[in-house]
Amino acid sequence: MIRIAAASVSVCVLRQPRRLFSPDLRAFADEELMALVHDGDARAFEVIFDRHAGPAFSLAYRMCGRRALAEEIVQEAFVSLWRSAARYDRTRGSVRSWVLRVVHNRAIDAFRRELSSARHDVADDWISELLPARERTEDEVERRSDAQLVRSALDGLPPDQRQVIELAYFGGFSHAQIAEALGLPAGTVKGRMRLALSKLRIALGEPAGVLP
Amino acid sequence: MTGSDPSARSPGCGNDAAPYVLGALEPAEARAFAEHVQVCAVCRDEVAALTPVLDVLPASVPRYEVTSALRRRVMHAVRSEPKAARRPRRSLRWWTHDAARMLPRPAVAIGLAIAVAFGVVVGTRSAGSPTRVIEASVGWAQLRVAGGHGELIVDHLSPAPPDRVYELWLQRGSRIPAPSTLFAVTSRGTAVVGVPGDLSGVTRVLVTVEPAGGSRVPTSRAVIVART
Repeated sequence: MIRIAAASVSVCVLRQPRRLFSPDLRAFADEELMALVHDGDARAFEVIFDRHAGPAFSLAYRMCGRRALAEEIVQEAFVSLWRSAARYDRTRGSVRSWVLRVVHNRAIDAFRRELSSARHDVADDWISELLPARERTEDEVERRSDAQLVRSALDGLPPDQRQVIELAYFGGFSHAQIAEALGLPAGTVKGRMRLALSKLRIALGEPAGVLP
Repeated sequence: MTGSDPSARSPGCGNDAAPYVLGALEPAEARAFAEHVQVCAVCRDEVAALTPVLDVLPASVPRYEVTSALRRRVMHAVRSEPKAARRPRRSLRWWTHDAARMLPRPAVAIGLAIAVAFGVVVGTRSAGSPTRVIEASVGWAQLRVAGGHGELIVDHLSPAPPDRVYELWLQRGSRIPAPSTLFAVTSRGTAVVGVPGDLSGVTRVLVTVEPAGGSRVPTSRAVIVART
């Protein structure tokens, strides 16, 4: 009896400090969270998901136009991110960029596996159920401002250049498919892509660098 | 790295950088361009310049929230997975012991030969100088390290099987090797592979045979193991 009582006391004493020092992971920066994710912390990954799943789903939905497929792409992407957390390298960009690159690549993979046959021909009547993201924080307001800047840069492109960017990046089409659809030489399509990205780069404030 | 070698440039150099970063090259074209980038400074710089544009393009799409059902599914899948911290050890064990059967027999034979060769590193040729050359005793491959950057030179290495490619990995301590770059060998089995990034902290440079397009973690036994 005495031993049991002593054990109970020690458990109580140990538990209290753990509650006191339990950190609020939502206050952590993405890079700090990724270090925890690398160590297998699912709670840290949950915060990463909450921060970036919205943009990830929005990109996937923009690319495939189908809710179910967009959710499938996002789920596959985040599970793969959990498995490959060790691969995240902060010197190569932000966590947001990393997440979106993975989602983009997964969407293209899905297209090329023909999981979404005739995806551009089928309207998604679920669109009315989509929940527009709310502006909840200053960060979101800032991101909306960034979004407006990027949209303006895209709108500023000549229509033929914007078209190839839309088809390639958001449509997941290869340059050969675009050339065939538009009845253009492949070289012309590649040239328009290069011109468009160069103009976007300048419009978004990057130095001209090696590009004309 | 042979990035400054003008002979590595072709008349159409630079044309594929934009479709490459957009993900608009066909898989075979993307593989070929990824190999070309390793030896062409012009294309490498152009890819580096264009990539940040791709990072901001998603900001232009209308923003939607995810459903709670999707959130539950993802977190359920995550919590059902083994913890991340345990994965490197398990993956490495599988990769080093069980995956050799995935390789064609000639590749295994060559791999073992080179791995053994590198296991008997003959040492630093020019200790104390800025450039270190670590080589295999049979001279099939060399890893040159200078100023924190490396270059792997291989010879007598069979071309990878169809739909396969050689992938180079950097390993720091006991962590799972991080993917570095893809490469192919010439018909004579030679290649000069620049190792991107800083080698500080890297304890081993590895080469495996992977599916075309590369892998995120090694899926086969290393055919080259160089200890830095």
